Amino acid sequence: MKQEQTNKKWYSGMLNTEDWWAAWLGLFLVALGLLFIWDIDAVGWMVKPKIWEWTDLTSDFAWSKLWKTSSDAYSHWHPLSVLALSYFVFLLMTGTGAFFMKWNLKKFIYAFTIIFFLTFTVWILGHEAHFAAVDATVKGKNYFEIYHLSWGLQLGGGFAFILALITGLIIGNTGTTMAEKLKEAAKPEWFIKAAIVLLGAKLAIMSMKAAGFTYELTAAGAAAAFVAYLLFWPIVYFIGRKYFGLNRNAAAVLSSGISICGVSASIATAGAIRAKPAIPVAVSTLIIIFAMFELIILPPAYVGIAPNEPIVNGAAMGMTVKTDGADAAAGAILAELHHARHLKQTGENWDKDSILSAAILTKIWIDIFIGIWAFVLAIVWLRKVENRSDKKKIPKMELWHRLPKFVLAYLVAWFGLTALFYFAKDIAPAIKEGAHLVQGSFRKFLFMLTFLSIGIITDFRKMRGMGKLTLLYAIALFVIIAPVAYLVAWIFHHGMLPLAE
Amino acid sequence: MEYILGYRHPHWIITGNGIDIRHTELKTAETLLAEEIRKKFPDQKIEVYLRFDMKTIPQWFHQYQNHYFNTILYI
Repeated sequence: MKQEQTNKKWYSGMLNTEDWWAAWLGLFLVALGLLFIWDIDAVGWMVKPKIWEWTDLTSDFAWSKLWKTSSDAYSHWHPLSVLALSYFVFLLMTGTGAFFMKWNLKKFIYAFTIIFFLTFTVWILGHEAHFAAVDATVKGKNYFEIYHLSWGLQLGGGFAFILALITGLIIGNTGTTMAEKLKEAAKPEWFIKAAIVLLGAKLAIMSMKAAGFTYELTAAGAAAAFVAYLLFWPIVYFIGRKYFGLNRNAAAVLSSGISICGVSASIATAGAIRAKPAIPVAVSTLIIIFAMFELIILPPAYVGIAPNEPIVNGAAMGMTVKTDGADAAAGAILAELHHARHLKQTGENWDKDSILSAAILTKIWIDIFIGIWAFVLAIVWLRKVENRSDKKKIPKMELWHRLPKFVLAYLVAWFGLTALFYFAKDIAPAIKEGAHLVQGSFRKFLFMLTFLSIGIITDFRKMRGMGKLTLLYAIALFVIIAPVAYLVAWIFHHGMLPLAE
Repeated sequence: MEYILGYRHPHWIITGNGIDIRHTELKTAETLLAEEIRKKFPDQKIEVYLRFDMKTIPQWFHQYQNHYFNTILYI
């Protein structure tokens, strides 16, 4: 696979890095949604799963029982045509990115096609009534009663996420050549970053609905992330040095990886202090595998421990689960579990995205801090560790290169749409409709792609031979990071409740 | 003046402008580079842009972070 050296000018990487392409894809979809201003529905064709029941389906099969279009404007289309269009548009968008990033296009198209249809199949299967239907009436419908169910897991959309994860893990850990081929297009960070940009559109809608809540969520997220950050890093560094005998470089890379934001932070730190690349590779392998355990264990655990603190749970998730992809995935499962439980118990329909946004916002703040922290470490290492104050410096441009561009796109989507809502009130309903569609089905499908891709790239066999690091990681994560993150999240978020749908 | 910095176990590698330096310690590799440049340009102050070779990081990493920091050496 070809790789580019892209890091010198301020505009370097705009066309050939995944971070920038996540920003472009997200903003492109937001822009498509804005066409509603001129009465053009350019996004309503996107597929959206329906809740279905297998005996009902097999007794009288129809594709239309399984999925529909996102808006009524395309409802007369045949479901298979809608699926084909959704596939081609996603392939065109991601394929364009792959082309500019100089990936092997043939391999990418092959892998993406399989991943797309596998993800779609799992998405639909996950909405079978016995898994997804919740025994409550929403918008005049109770699928539990409609299908006369005698039992049901009542997990809402959460079951589809879990199923995608399990499917990906089976593929990624069976040792087949298929897993290797699919890795060409299994890009959880790319997919989730694009999805997070779309979540910026959702935040704009939330701002319009409840500006106070959105402001509080943002400010509390920033404060919590900052406090947690300053606590985690020195503690993990100290333990790594004192009790596990790690050298300075390994301890610093591990501390950043486990306490800040996973793989990105470990590579940024390794780059800043110029540790040998084997160190961030080993640490990142651990991070990815542990993130899998976190996203399986923590959502149900948090719901069980604090069922009435969904926002605290979401914020804690953002500070505990490493990598954007795993955090967003865990936040999405958490939101679905909380939503389904609350709906079943009270009949009230919470806005799930309030909980997901709590998880994402803390992570976004942490992402912003990565570059600053890495830059500080680079200077400390040059001045104090290497003691080379007069001969060498870090170009300030590196700060810009460390700033995640998808975060900029997220902020552009959020504040741009909010400004439009505020200053162009006559077209606000059209903007809201477009933004709602884009951040709905598109974002959920990107989440599904993320779940499947995380599973595919997580190979548990890679943990062999990393005993000491694994032990330190496990201790730091479950004894220090998770409890401290929860405490900090509780201090800044307790009492906050999700918005009503 | 620009050079490329990479790593292939167990060596840090600095290449460019006809120079190829390999050493297990980065600091030593940079010192050797400075010596080579001083031989070619005695009595001159040189600013060397040391650009990180992205091929050093496995491709699957790039979705998380693209590159190490670049640095500037003053010789």
